[in-house]
Amino acid sequence: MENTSPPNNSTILTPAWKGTVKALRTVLLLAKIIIPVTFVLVTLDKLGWLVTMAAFFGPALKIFGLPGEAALPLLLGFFVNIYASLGAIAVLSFSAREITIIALMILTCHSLLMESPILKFTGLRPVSSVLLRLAGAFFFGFLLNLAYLAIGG
Amino acid sequence: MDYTILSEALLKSLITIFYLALIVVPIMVAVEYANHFQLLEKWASFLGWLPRSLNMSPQAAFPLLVGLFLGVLYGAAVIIEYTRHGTLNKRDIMLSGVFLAINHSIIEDNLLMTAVGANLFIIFPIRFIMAFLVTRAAGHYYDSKIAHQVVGDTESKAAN
Repeated sequence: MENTSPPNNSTILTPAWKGTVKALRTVLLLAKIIIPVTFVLVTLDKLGWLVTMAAFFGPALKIFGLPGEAALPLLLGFFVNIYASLGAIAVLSFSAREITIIALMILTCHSLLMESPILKFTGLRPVSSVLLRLAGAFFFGFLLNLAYLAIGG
Repeated sequence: MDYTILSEALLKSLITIFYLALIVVPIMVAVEYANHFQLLEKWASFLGWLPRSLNMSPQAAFPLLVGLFLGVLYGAAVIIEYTRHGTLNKRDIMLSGVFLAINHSIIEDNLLMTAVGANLFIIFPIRFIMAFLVTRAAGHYYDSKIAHQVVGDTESKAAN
């Protein structure tokens, strides 16, 4: 039918079909990451380990105005990918201000293991790009928290 | 086996995945239409202000645009192709790498974060402005390093 038609027969709806298929493939990929991450996090939460972890990271994350639990989405985002951190943000309860700070930090620095080799092709050594993005994430998070404190948001 | 953990985790992840699907499907369809009508090629010509304001050559507009909208993987692919044809010089390649390292796939990433509760009007502009400033700084650093190298070369030649 439509999906087996050659490209020269493409109609105005072909991009919509192709886009939907690609998107559903991405969603399937997301599901494979988000379901196990959510499962592990809910289990850790029930076992009370999240509280222990949060207490450990709490002092360091105060710099960004974040609670200790924020270490999980941040670490997942930095080293795994954005989707894993989305799972963590959805499970743990953060305020809108905290989610915005976490989001800015993760958007600046994410999927380091996957994207650094790709960025190498642009002449940016992995060491440089990792340092640049980690430093950027910490700096931007710090600044955004200061801005929030200044306006009292 | 504690079934409450299983059901709670499954329910929570399905809700997250549903919200993500609501965002990813329209984006991918829009990207396919943009490819179909070759919109990025058309926009590159009047988005020359971006490489210009980043102190880069105008040829860098298309790789920057692809990276911004489609992600680092596609951006890097275009950069590699341009490098092979010699369209971009070393400085442009390095600076587009710095810019795209911080700021890429601006539509998908920002909307995903918005879906879980982040403020789009804060994360989008701050990331863009920061990438801009860092790229300008990297450009200055690169230029000063090159200047030093040139001075160093002439000095060593003079010594010989």
